[in-house]
Order: sequence, then structure tokens, then C-alpha cells
Amino acid sequence: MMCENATKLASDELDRRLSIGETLRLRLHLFGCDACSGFVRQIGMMRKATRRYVATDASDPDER
Amino acid sequence: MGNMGNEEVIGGYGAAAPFLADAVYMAELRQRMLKFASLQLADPGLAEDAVQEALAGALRNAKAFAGRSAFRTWVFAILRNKIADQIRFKRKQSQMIAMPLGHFPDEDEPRYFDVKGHWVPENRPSDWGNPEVELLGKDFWRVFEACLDHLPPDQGRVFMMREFVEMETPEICAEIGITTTNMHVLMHRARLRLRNCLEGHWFAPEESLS
Repeated sequence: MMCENATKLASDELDRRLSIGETLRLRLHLFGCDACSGFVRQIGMMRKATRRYVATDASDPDER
Repeated sequence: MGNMGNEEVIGGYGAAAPFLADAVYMAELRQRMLKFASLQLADPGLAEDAVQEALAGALRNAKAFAGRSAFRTWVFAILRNKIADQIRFKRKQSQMIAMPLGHFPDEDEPRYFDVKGHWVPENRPSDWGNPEVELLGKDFWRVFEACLDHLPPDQGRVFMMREFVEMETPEICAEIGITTTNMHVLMHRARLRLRNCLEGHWFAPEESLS
């Protein structure tokens, strides 16, 4: 599997359940690819950030 | 809403009372909500309505606010529901700008991968460390917001519905009339783009935001 497909599956995984085959292929690729592993961590962090963004106020000194 | 500063009026609002009584806080919160709603409802009038209804709902149900979560989080949860309602309502009214069905040209997309599907060096993810979302400061949120604003409209809309309004996939697809496959393509592109923007402007800034 190439990085382009791996990132697509990694993104899909946040929105749908992957098949067992897809999961295996993705994990196998991530095992040997630092860049895509980074991508997976980063989109996970982005999801956390988007959800937190709603609950924080950049202009509010109390929360900083 | 005009007499919110009046202590007697808000006496029955329980844990929410101190927030509701703080006119400056409420004005800022309202601005914040409006900005959030405007990101998702292109029509400023509708955004205004959603905020108004959310605030009215918050007032009506103030007793339900137990003070365990942040007041802001609680109010925004109400706003999210209002926005989801508006999106559904708009669709019923056929006011929604139709999205081109099934065709999302990718010529305008930045090139992330070469012909073989490997990362191109300039867009290859670098190590961000393991940033704790809770510890990110206000400068980060400014960059984050700017990057969201820079998403192309179709990607931005789907991304917002999914990640901010927290709608489920079937609902998003039904509401805007795209297939699940298309939605996943748009989410992939939005994430690639947002990631790139954050990396370029926050985690490894090389140029300033245009």
C-alpha cells in the first residue's frame, strides 16, 4: 500500500469502520512508515482540537 | 435578554446565574457563538437566529446546568443542536446551495503525493511531538481558526458538520445530497489540507499566514 491510500484509510477510520483487510493493510503500512504514522497521530490530534475549540475561547484569559 | 444584569431576575438560574449576570462575559460569549455559527451557516441571518435561539434555550433550561462542565461548553452544546436544526431546516426549504453531485475535481488540491503515491518531500508530515491539546495557547487557536477558514467551501462545510456539529455520516450525506464515498474523499482532503496548514504555520512555521 502506498502513502496516499494509507492516509485515505486512516482518515476513513475516523468516519467509518474499516474492514479487517483494510485494517491489516493500514497497520502493516504504518508499521514501516514514519510519515503516515505521524499523519495518523496528527489527524487524531486535530479531531481533539476541533472538539476542544468549541469549548475554549481564545480571547478568555481565564482559560489560558 | 436586555435586563440580564439584574440580580433579581436571574435569581432562579442556579449555577448558571453568575455567568448570566456577567454582561461582559455574555457579550463575549455571544460574539464567540456568532462566529462559530457563521462558520457553518453561510447566511448571517440564520447564524444570528441560531445564536439567539441557543441563548434563549440556555436561559430557559438554566436550572439544568449543574456547573460540572464549563458553562461555555454547555451553551455551545445547545448551539450545536440549533445549528444542526438549521441545516436540516434549510435543506427542507431547498435554500441550500446545491453541491455538484459526485464530481469533485482535484486539480485545485495541493499535491501531497507523487505519481507512485508517496509523499512529496515538501508536504511530508514532520514530527509534531505529542502536543497536549489542553495546553495549547491562544496563538495556536488563532492559527487553527485561520487554517479552518482557508479550507475550500465544500471541504469546510463537510468538515464542520462532522467535527464541530458532530453529525453522523449518514445524516451529513442525506442533508447535503452526496454519497458516503464522496464525503470520505472530502474529509480526507480537508484533513490533508488542515494538517498541512497547521504544520506550515504552527508546528514548523516558515511563512506567515496570507
